[in-house]
Amino acid sequence: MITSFFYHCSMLFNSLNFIYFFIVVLLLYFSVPHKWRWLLLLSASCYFYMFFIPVYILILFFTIIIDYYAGIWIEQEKNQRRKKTFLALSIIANVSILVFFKYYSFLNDNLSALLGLVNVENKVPYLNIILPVGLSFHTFQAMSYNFEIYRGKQKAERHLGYYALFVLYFPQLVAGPIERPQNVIHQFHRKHQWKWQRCLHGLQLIVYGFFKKVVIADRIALLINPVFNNYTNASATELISAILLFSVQIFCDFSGYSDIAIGSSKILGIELMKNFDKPYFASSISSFWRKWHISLSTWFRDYIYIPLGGSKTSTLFHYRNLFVIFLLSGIWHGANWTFVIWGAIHAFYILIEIQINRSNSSLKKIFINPISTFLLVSLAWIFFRSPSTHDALNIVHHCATSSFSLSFINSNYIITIALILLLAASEKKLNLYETKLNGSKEFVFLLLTLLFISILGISENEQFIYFQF
Amino acid sequence: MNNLFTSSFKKKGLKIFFFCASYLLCFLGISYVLINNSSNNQTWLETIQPKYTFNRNLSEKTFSTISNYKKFDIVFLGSSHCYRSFDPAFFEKNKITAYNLGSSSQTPLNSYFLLKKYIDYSNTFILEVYPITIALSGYEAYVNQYVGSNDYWFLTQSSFALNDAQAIQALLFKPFINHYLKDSYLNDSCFYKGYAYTSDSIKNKNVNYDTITLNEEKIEIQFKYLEKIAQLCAEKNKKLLLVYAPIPKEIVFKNEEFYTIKMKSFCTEHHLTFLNYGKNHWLNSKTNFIDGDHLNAGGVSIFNEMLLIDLKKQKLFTSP
Repeated sequence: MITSFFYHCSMLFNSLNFIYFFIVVLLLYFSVPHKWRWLLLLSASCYFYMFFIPVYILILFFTIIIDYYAGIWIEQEKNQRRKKTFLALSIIANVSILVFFKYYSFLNDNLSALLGLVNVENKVPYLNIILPVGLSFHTFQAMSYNFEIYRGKQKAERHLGYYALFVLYFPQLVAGPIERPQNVIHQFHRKHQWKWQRCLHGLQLIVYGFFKKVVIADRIALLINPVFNNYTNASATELISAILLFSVQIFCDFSGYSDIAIGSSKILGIELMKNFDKPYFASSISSFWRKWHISLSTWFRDYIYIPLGGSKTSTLFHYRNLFVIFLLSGIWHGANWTFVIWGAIHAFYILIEIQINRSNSSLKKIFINPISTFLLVSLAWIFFRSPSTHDALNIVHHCATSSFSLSFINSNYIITIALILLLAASEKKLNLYETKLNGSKEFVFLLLTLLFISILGISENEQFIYFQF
Repeated sequence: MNNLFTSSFKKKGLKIFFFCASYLLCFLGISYVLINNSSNNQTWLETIQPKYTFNRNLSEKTFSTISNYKKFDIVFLGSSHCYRSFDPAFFEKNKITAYNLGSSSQTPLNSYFLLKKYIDYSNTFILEVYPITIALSGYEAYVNQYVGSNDYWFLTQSSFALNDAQAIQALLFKPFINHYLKDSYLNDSCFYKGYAYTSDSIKNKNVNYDTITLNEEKIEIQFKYLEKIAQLCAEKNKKLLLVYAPIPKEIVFKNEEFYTIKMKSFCTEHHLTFLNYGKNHWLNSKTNFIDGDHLNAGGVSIFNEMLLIDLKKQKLFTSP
């Protein structure tokens, strides 16, 4: 509760506070000499972060100092073993903070449950810890910096301010994309001129992100939150619709956030990586994971899956590696068994997919196509959406045993479905990350999207789902 | 100022103007169509935008009637629990002038701006603090207030406080609402100085009392406005009382304690009196209420008797 209160007070991308803030930063950014821009962006990023819980900035400063020096030591050190030690030092510092703030209560609860089995009392104290916003995102980004230096793909940044800006850069600070140092740091050093075309391209991404968030995701939330909150009274059809709609909601919520982040950064002249690539058009689960939350899945691929041997090892180890990254991906999302199960389900999907691909059977046609992929992904989202495994299993049970009724379909439902179809068509047609719309297409796109946002948008400052991670 | 305001900006100026004019024209055109067409007793705007529910008639009457007066002994503020629980006619019979500034779903955020506007109307303000309304964002009340008020400064202040782009945007709808929105929510015989009279009861109706979970996040935000209300009253040397009007005892709040603890500590901190009648009453849920949670005329007269006794104990009035 306290956490969500701070989120409300925060500078959410869909709040007026962010719009005022961004306009001021933008005007100042292109008004100050290049040599001071890093300081301006860093100060703005600190201000942005301190809107949440101001004192938590100290946690970030702590890890920034450790990672900054660890990076220099890793680069300077010739002895491979000592290089590894410095890398380990940086990882331990980051992971310890993540574990304490995010997993302390979860681990303590599980310890109590385990000790309870043998009638032993858990003496570890319970702490009411408020999770720092975006902790998982900026911790992973900070870790990628030293991984890349260790792998020799990135030079250690000697300017502490530029390194701090890499970790704190406000457009992607609280919910990614989780950037790599070689993509971003050099861009901070470069002098960016104001360019109308780039600004309009960024603006297109921002309004498209807002459209996804306030027109689709928040509208879906109005329809499905009451169903999930009271699923025992819902019919099977209502529950199944809510599950399918949640798949769309989470995509619009998160990719909408990413679009706004990428668009805002583009206006400032800093290009961020693409985070979503039409994932629900993927024809298989493995393809889905190449298109969904790309910055996180490539993080796990590059820093865990491949170092463990990836697929270029024995079948057993290949499967183990898949399970490791999906279970870690699950627990990364939240300190709850529901997320672990969600990760495990996806690992199973991939194993089955590998088997089906190898067997070349007729099952391939049935399971390896966009519709089956969407349905399988939606099924797994039940665990992601539910507060507990008990609730998730109950929802599945209710889907199978409740009555079928279409009485829940009202005008709002129909409007929402129409909007989703419009979104699907625009997702298929547009490629805003790579290509900017020009001329009359740009005019019509901006006009229509803004009209949709202003007339159909639900702007109750709903927080972004991924902010909790 | 190296490259933001160069000649290219001037060249683009005309295009930006053309775009903004097109947007505004389309927006107003679509709004006009959405507000002037209805189905199932709802305007199309209310259908596509669940956030809009207009109770124009009551707020219009409330805001227009108060302008005929200058001063009252007490002014009541709050949600529907306010305009359905405090009857100025009852207080007048007891030589106390009163006005009810309640409006649908009015939260402390909305009450704060109303208080600022009407602070000179009284030396004593009673704020109704029903837990459910304290757990709302304030948007619904804002919509209800703005359909009934023509004070654009007051509305603009409230919309910015809500930090909601649609609340600001809603101001653009206003010209249409004033001219075209048809609403017959309340007839004149049931209205007296902001109080909405109803003699109905739920005697023969079935009412389901659901267990309600209060939105604690919104309660935290609304308490910030309660703070502001308390500060404003202290600065202007006005008396402030918080009252929780009676509700049926069958209503259960899952997390009522959260509200109660916060309210108690708030009142202690600001040395305010909190009169909690919520479930501390002997009213009958079937005969003294109109629906699941609002008092009817019979309930109001019993409750107002109790309240008057308690107010006299507070020595708020010099008159008998």
